[in-house]
Amino acid sequence: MGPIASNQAHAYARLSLWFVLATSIATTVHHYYRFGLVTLLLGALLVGLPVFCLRAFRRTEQFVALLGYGAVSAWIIIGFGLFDGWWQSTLKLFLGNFLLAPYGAYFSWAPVGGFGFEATGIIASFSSLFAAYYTGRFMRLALPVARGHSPSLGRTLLAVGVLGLLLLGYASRKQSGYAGPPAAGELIKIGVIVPTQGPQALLGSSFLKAVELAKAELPGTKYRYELVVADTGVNPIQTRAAIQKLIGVDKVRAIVGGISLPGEIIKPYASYAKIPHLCVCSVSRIGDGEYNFTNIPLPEDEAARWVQEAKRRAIGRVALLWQDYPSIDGHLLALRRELESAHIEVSFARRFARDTASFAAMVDAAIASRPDVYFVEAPEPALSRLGRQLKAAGVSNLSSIVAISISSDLGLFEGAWYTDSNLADADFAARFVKRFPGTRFATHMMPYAYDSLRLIVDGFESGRDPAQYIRDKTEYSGTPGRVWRLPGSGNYRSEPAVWIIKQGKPEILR
Amino acid sequence: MKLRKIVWTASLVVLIALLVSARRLVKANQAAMAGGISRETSAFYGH
Repeated sequence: MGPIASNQAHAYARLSLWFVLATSIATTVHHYYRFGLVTLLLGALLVGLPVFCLRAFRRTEQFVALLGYGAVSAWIIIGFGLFDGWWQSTLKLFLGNFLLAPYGAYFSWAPVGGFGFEATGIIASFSSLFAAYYTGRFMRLALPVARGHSPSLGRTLLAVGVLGLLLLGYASRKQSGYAGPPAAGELIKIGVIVPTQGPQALLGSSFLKAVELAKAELPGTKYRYELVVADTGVNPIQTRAAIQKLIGVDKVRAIVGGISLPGEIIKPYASYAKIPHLCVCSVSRIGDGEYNFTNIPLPEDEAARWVQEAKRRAIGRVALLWQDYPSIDGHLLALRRELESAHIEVSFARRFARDTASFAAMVDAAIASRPDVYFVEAPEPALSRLGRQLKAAGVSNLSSIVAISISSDLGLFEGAWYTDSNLADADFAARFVKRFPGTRFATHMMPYAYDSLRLIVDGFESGRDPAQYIRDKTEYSGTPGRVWRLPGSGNYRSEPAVWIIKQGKPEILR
Repeated sequence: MKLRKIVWTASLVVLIALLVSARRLVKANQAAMAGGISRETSAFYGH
């Protein structure tokens, strides 16, 4: 090596070593947060090996020593800088959990750790880029002058290294999708993800029990089934953590879920993992007909049934009062279309915010419009607040789509009628009450939850890819009666029933 | 040498900005994971 080249090589060697060691130290501290003191052994290796190899090369100028330094540096740069640092910290945190959160399925599913853990990951990712640049420059200058160097050996080792990385990447895929029929008697895990806290706890609990009833009533099956229950949590971040654990850690092979907003977060994960996701939710865009399917009447089905009943009751004018919320807005949009085509006049329409405390002015204006029926739709606690104020104002001719079914105070809605899940299988409620005595039976969603699990199990029992089985299943006779789906569509549809509150209890109108 | 200084300084500034942002993101994530129903998230369970 000439003196100038030699000086440059030494300068690049020093810079390469500094940044390799910076990456090693950052990644050692990073791993300390997860594995404790045992990480010191890893740290000693990550600091000791590059120093040892580089010193050996400077002393002997042997190709083997240079190769050792290159290999150790590549391990640290790729394994701890690019994969651990960039993929598992920097990109996960800033893109997977923030800027591109809706596409979080395509980033690392590693949970977000404490600041120290993530910060050391970010530092390792940065220093690894400098380490890669200076190590590359150093190797280019040092390789031709190393003793025992053979260009063909270098190329072979490079090819082996690239192949090894590709194999490592293939082996560390998060989920492989359908891998052929399971072995006889194999345990198949099915994820059930519903809210078990917050305002929808009643609904979530009933949903879960309906799925448990479906599992208990399975006939003799080829495979064993286990339900892995997860709480959606109360915000998108908790839902994301729950679905990542269900698919990534618990390795469920199908998902039954409820409620539209969590369903929208779960959808890309099911697609990514190539597993079927049956969502008992009314937002039709969740169903893509590939891996995601909704299984509950669509807003237009509910609206058509509501208008049919309204015409039977000779209703000509209706006042609409509803809370600002996506699925309720969907119901109202469909209902207004149906009302218009049925020539039923909307005498008053008002959407209110979730935290509205006083409905007095709204109720007075609605009364002044002299409707034949007051249509109300809101989740709790707003529904009961509105119900109390309507009752106080002497209004009793109430109606709804679904909402009254899950009211916490049915007494407020005595005589009210509404559309909700059908129970064509009249024995379903009796079987539920027998199995879960003392539990309130919240009809909404339950027949679809029951059928969704049966559909997934039927898919596995068929010996085919369960997602393909569901894609091909465009009609079945289920708990709510006939359920159908247009080929290619992701929305199972069925006709809802009309219910009425009698003596504080829901009763189906047949 | 001058270019190297510019690149190193720019990288250091970006790194510090990322670390400051990361601190805020981690805190927000911890609050959301531990949290009950905040004003921002309660609408999540409107239906």
